[in-house]
Amino acid sequence: MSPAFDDLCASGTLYRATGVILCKLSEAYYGQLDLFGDVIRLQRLSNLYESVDTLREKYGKHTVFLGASFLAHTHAQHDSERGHLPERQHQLLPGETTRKRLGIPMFLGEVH
Amino acid sequence: MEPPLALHAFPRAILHIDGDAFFASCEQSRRPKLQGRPVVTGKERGIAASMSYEAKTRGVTRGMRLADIRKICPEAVILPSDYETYSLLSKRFFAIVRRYTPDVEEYSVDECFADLTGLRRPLRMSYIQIAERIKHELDTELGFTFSVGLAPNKVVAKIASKWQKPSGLTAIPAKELHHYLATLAVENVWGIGHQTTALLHKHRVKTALQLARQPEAWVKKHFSKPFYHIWQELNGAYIFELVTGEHETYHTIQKVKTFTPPSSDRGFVFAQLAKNVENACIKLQVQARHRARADLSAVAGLSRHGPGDGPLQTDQFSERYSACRVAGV
Repeated sequence: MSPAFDDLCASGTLYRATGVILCKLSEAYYGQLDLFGDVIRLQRLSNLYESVDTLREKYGKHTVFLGASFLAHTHAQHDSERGHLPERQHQLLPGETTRKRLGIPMFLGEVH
Repeated sequence: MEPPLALHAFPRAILHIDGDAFFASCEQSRRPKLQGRPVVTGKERGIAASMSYEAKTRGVTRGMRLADIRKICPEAVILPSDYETYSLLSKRFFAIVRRYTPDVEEYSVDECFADLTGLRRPLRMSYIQIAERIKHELDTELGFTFSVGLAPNKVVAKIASKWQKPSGLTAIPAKELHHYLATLAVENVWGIGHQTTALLHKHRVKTALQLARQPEAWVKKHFSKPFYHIWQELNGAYIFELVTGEHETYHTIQKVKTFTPPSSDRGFVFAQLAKNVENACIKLQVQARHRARADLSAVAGLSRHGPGDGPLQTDQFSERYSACRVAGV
């Protein structure tokens, strides 16, 4: 994706949004097998992502992320009031994180 | 006296249910202190995504910038969207409707269609009574109101639920349809967009009733097949079936996200793009349940008007939309 980004991003220009669009979606099964190693590379990647999925399932989305997206994960998305979190994310139960919570939308009150 | 468009009342009984100011209502429901106050959601986007009726009466409209909202309605409570809560309440909403019928189409987070045909005898109620019951359970159990339309098909059910908002219940039997269509502009019919409206206006068709009364051959000659189906439904026929299964598969998956302050730091902008890719892949994987492959297009939104911009215009993307395409993510 890096060469594509170099194409797209003009230096000295201020950007306020980025995005991706995935199209021509298809099942991975139907990928054609080949003789010269691409399949092996894909199999390795597949194993890697399976481990990532296991970690995500246990600890929540974005537990493991790409090195390339480090700056985006470590900075708040918005620096102004737009960065405020919904109230439910401030009322975490024991064991809940801002990424992983029980499916309970509201509490009647708090008992200390 | 105008002749009716059809003779029956409800050959099929289709319900359309629409949550009133859904996101803002969810917030008022989870925090009763907010009831009766102007509530606006969408703080994280910098614009109003949903506003309570109290905010609507003060002139707040969808897409309005937060700074403008504070000017016209200083007492507004502006909250960041809490999609997790909205989707949990949305699930409860559909579950309540499913108490009465299994044929429920989850049309969007705050809307559904339900088919009540054949339920009068087992429930010993008329269709209108069933609709009233469902509405009552929704209003009382979720803590905010819903607008309900009962009609012989989806197109008319949409008209019925919009007829009286908020908290309305409108039943339009096929034989009384012409009274409702007489005052309804064609552009307010579900599925008729700007282009079709313009074309209809050229033919001097302004109201939905004028359209419904056009001869079948005329409709077939000038318009496409989906439009012909809309015309049939405006005449009381049942054409568009409910889609009650799982959400159909996606053709494309998009993840576009703004950030503030705008940045010209290539590393930072690239990190944002990489995060979009991660999020798109997570969505792709949830949808496919196994590995899938896809082509990828990247987009970047320019900051045209300096920091603190309003809504992003899509044309800011389009110029560079097809600039790059990387195969095999």
